[in-house]
Amino acid sequence: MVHKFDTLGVKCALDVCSGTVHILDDISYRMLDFFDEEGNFDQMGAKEAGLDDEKSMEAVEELIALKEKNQLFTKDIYRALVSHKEKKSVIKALCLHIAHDCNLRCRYCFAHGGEYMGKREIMSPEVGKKAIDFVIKESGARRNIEIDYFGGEPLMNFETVKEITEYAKAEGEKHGKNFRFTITTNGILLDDKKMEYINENMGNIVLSIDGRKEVHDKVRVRVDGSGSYDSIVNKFIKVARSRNQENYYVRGTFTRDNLDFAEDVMHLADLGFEQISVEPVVAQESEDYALRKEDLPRIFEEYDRLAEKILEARKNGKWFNFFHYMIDLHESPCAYKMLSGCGAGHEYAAVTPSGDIYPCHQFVNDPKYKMGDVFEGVVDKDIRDVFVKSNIYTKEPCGDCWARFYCSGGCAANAISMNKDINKPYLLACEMEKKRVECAIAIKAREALDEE
Amino acid sequence: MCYNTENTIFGVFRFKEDIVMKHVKTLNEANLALSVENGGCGECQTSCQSACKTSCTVANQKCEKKGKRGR
Ligand code: SF4
Ligand code: SF4
Repeated sequence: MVHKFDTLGVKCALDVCSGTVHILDDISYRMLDFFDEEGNFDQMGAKEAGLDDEKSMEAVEELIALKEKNQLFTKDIYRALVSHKEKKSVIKALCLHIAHDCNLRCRYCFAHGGEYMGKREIMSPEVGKKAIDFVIKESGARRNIEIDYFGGEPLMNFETVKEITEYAKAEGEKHGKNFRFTITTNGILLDDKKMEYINENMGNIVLSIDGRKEVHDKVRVRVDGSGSYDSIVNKFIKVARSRNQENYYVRGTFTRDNLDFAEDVMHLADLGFEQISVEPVVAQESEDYALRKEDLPRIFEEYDRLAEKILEARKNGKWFNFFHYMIDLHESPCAYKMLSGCGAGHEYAAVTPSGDIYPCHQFVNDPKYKMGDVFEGVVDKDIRDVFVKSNIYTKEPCGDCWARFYCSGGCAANAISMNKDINKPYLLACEMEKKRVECAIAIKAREALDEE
Repeated sequence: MCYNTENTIFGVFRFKEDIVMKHVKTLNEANLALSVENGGCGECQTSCQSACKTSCTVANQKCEKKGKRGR
């Protein structure tokens, strides 16, 4: 399968199943239309279209040469790997819901003020330690284990975070496991002492900030309705600097209210942040801030605009990374990883303050998806199977989707909440994902052309 | 009419070794197929956890065997 696209003024062809990217000129871009799925050239068709001159044929010859080199029209040979995934997958990452409580009331929060439609509660060190025992046991031969401290707001229960971290490090050493920690915070309770502990112990920190003050303060509000921007922004700048601008993300959400989100990304870049992620909100269409299908052209335009801004900034010596435009064309994850996606429910699970296990943070407190608890330490096989058996070949549109090895089938939680079926991805998210992949590739192409 | 390039009798379509590329510039020497043999160790990061909690892109994840896998 070949996907061609004309983005940021460059014409590209992606050979989907090998991952090879080609930059095409106008003629070769046009001539690609006369090849079928298998890479057979329709000479009559080209002739009828008046495209049988010397130059066109030269381009055709080049495209055929790429096919011979297995760089164009390669076949999807990965279906057989699915059974490897099913057999080998073990839980190796946990999202610990340290506090089902929050000191902010962000309007779009899927956890609804941190409570997840349940009651306010915090995780005890005992539950956290049980979760560590559980993941050590479940992770089999895997050495690397990830623990993500999440909430609500995990800094509301930071002593427990520390206790769990110390326990995990000690137990990890005993069992030959390498724990990697991440914490996600809104910053309100962040202070120098916590920052120091986090920098010493955690490989990643995700700092929630939406961008421009007026955008941020409209949604990320305190209980009394006031905005939170001013009380966090300087702390976040300090965190980023103290980590040498690496191993952290400032992470924002854009909604229908700021479809000009490139401005928010640039605002964060102007503040000096070098690791930036700003993501589309996921919400039911009944919410006024939810993104809708009719917003897509505007969103695509904005992704292009953002890509241009990033290229320009880099040209002027200002480098920053936008999470969704980060793509390694030379050494991307292996085919197995490309098939396994997020791993929710079989490689990754969420643990609530009371110790219940769910496929991921998005399923928490939905009784249908309760997989077990850390005290018993076993997970429901039927629920696990739903997740482990779902992949790009079982999901309806994914098998024919050119972006399948980049996206690996989208978010299971969105598919279930929007379409009531794990195998029916949320198509609005698909459209945005595809656009971002095109932009990411086009940025690489533009940079390669500029280097010449 | 379609025909397979490998069987073509037209000289112009015969694959020449080192063809000079005037119309196409290849950006990378990727080969996902190679990773079938050398990949699958499972030591890499879980995808939803690097920056976001609502979406999933695996292409931007780091491979733990970077430089050792042949892709
Ligand atoms: S973009 Fe959508 S259709 Fe394509 S692989 Fe991802 S989830 Fe599947
Ligand atoms: S189901 Fe969605 S939210 Fe949950 S881990 Fe996967 S990508 Fe993330």
